[in-house]
Amino acid sequence: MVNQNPQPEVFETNFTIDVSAVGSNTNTIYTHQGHNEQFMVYAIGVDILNANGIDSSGTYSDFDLTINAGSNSVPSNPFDAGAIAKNTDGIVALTCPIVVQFKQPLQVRIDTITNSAVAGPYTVTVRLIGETSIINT
Amino acid sequence: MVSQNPQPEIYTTRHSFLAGDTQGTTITQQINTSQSWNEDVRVYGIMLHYVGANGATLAYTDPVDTGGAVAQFDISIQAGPNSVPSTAFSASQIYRKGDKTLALSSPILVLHRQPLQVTVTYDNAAPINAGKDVTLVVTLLAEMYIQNT
Repeated sequence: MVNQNPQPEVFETNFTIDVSAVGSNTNTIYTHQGHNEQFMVYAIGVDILNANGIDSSGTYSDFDLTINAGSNSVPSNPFDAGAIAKNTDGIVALTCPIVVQFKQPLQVRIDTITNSAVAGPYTVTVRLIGETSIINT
Repeated sequence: MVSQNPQPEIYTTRHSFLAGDTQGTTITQQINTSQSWNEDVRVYGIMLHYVGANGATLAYTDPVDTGGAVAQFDISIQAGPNSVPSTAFSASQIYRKGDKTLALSSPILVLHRQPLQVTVTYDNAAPINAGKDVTLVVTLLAEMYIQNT
């Protein structure tokens, strides 16, 4: 439920990845939107940190990221999270927003690609930068 | 088939080169856009990432590592029967940028049933060094939308 319209939102979710958690890891994000509100994601930020909170993307950065909005993946395929973490601002701007409607689950999935080399633990933080707004009918 | 209109799309391909690969070694990957007959894909930008055999990020000098020489890779994108842009361009230059992204001046347009392929070519005179296997991860920043007739 928004306090202002539109309301900026930054949803963060953390994944702890080590040798016991290779493969797929999925977190759900709760948007707390009302029935007449929609959430739009404009950009995605990624950090890869070690246990001390220091950037460790130089040690391991081979992750794929998937966002599920409602019943589908949007974008429709997994994409490289390492490139996002390694660029200067750690953010990729989407060409158009991901739209999340009321009651649609919003999930983020991280897949490790080069599983044999994962040591860690690594904390992968995925940040969805967007806004919640009241739908104009 | 889009779930929303327009729908952001991010397509990632992986191109793995091994130590000993010589100049001209080429790896092509196909992207399945799953678009419908009335949908178009537009590619607005290209993002690059070099990953080593153990999943670590590599510097742009790592695969050749001879006096800090740049490991030169070229990218070409085939949209339908043609390359768009029409010639290959440097992947290394994109990777050396801070944002590791090249924004195109106008989008690459992919129509229904047109194959979309990414080709990466190794272009250094010296072969890739021993122990310097490298995977180029190419990410196309795109959107898919329903055509307005």
